Amino acid sequence: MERSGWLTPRCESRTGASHRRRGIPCQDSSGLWCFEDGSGEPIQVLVVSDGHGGSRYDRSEVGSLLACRVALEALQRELAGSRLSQHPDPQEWRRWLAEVLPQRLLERWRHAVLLHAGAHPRSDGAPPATLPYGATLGVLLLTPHWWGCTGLGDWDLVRIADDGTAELLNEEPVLSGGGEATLSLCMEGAERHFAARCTLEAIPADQAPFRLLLSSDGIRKSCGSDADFLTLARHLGDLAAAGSGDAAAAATAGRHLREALDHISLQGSGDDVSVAIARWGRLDASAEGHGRKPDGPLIVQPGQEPAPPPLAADAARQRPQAPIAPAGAHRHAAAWSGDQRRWHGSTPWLRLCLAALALAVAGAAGAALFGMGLFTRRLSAPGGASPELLGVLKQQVDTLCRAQPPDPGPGAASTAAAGSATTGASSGAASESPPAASADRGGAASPTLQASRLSAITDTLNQRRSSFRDLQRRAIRPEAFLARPAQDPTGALIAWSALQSSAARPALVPALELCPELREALRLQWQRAQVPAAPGAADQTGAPDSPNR
Amino acid sequence: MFPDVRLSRRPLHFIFLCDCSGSMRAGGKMPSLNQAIRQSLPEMVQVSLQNPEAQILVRVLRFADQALWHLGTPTPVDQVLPQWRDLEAGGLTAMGDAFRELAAVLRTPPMEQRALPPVLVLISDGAPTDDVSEGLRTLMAEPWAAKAVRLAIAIGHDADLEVLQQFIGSEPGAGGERGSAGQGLDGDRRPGTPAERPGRRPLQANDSITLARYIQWASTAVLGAASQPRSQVGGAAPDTNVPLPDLPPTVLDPSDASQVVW
Repeated sequence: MERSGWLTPRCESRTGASHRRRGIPCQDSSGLWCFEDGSGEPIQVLVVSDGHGGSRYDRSEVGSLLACRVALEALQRELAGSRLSQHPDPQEWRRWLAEVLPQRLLERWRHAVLLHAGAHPRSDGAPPATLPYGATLGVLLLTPHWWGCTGLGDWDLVRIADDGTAELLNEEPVLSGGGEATLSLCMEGAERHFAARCTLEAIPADQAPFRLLLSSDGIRKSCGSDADFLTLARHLGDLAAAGSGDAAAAATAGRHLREALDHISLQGSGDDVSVAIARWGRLDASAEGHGRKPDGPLIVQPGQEPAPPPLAADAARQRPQAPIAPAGAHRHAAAWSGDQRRWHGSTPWLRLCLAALALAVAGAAGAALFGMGLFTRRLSAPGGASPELLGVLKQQVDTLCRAQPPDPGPGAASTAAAGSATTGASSGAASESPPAASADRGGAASPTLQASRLSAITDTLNQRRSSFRDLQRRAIRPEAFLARPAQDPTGALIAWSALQSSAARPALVPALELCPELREALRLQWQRAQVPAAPGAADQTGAPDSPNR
Repeated sequence: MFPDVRLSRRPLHFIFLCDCSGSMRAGGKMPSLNQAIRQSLPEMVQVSLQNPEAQILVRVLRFADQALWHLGTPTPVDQVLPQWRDLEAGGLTAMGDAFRELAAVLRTPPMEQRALPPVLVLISDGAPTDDVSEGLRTLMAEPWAAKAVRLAIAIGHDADLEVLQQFIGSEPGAGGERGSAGQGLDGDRRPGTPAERPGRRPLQANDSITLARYIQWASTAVLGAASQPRSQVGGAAPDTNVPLPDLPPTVLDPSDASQVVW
């Protein structure tokens, strides 16, 4: 007699083309776990999670990884000890998916996040919080009698029938705040939002084969229309199904699926992409449905791509991602850099504790390296800064200092208004150039012209006071500016002056010839950045075009 | 790989709203604006190449006695310069009408659901002469207008900064902190207050160089930031989605006596 059931599932996450080009880690994760309940009934859990981009969510790749992990562990813990046959009412499970599971899941996630945050304190001294770890989460729970989903955020669930017809079953409603708005695990009361995405469907005895595809938003946003998305879902389901059979077929199918996801991101949205694919079909004597599934959780998050030299002119960089071992082949924690991480574990809490310990050690090592200034290795190749950075800095200095102006002659009136800053040589200034490169650009200019030049430079740098303060307080690192000199030459110059003032690293910073006015203006800005502004203090120069002009 | 699937980049609509009233004839303002836009186009093409996942589509809406599309079809950025025609000045300042025209194109359809937040740059040298409040209400009722990155550049000292600020959104800081003579403040931060984000106040351009730099900033740095999509937690203010880069320097050449100040 033919027996049907859930076949070998598959999940994949890939770093988006945009992130690869910019050296940003993948913020997507996916995972699956196949286990049995207390009575030996097979259960599968599939998850996808998408960390938010942007500076506010700068640890979201950790948030999404933790989301997948705690979701798999929470479901395994709840279901492995239960007996599905003793709770045959699907609605009872629906209520559990909508109300009980979210609370437990969020509790575990917040705990894991705060554990990580405590082990990796932020440089600005902010207390541990969940916001930087914000991520979405989609969960698919598969039993022999029913299947259900829950979660929050902009993931999608598609059902593909045996005849290839695809149907969008579950999507996030449009929120205020725009096309990029999504609900998040980091929100207050996030548990309440799971119910709206909760679905549970009974599986009839004569159920025909079908597939379920759970995907992060990067896939749907890469498609020209929803019709294209549904067609694409069908293709991805076919790729997953092609891996039925032996390990070699599974490995080939996995490679094809990864190539497909890379192609989708490259040709489409550029975003990170994740899929988790479940298949209901006939179980037979082949490897399908019999022991070819991993016996521990499998979580996928591509390892952080080695950052390209940030000073290179070519911003477009495609790096092939490392091949992956077939699922279930090894129980190991893969290396963090370059390779795609696949976690297998049969003792999840021990692994979680070990991982937290490893993260804490890595964080301490990273802080030590930072203090030793070794991060500056990125800023300059052996022998000095990249030609691009040097060129941009010199051009910016030229722009601000200008070439030697023609002397208007004695008695000629100045055409520029005098500024309010003082003139005069700096002494022991933080921004002073090395003595060997202290050629004075404006030496022959009249005092009036020097004053007007200083005023003009001061006006320019006044617009960037926040940058001086952020660098002074280490809220932002100089390399953030030096990584994109062409886009923000003033920021690059400010970052250069910040490094110049650091006695520990002058050898790593290129020498620049500054005019005295620029040197003085930088000195004043750094001086001001060390002193908090008094409440109600009037702004001296106001808008970029001040009334003084 | 998938011949029956249309994979495509996400559209990013960049729209200039240009004041073409009669006052723009004075002081070389209109030629300066035309030149600034023309000069920014090649750099916008570079931004497009650096962000291949975004399809940058440019439009230009001019307003004088009425609002008319100067470039009404969303045009790929690399195709704009060859067909660029200079804007001409003359007439009143129907800014409200411009907002209503803009609202019509920000509806879905024609806006694509998967589009990136559009960038809207309003450039004006004077005060509106029609019902700008009604026009602004119509515009901001559109979800895509709320999601958009909205910038405003005031040319000269006669521009209505209050209207431009309303277009951008609520002023940063409690109670609205304005500088003297209605000008915006710089980014000086008081203790305990968050840093003011550049572009959240009207940008004041009193000369052609400053105008060119601001338009270059809007069409390159801001466009580049908008080209990189970032999820935001639902309910957060839309303007937190696209972090605006710092403003460019606006240094007048102290040796250039020919610089005209508006």
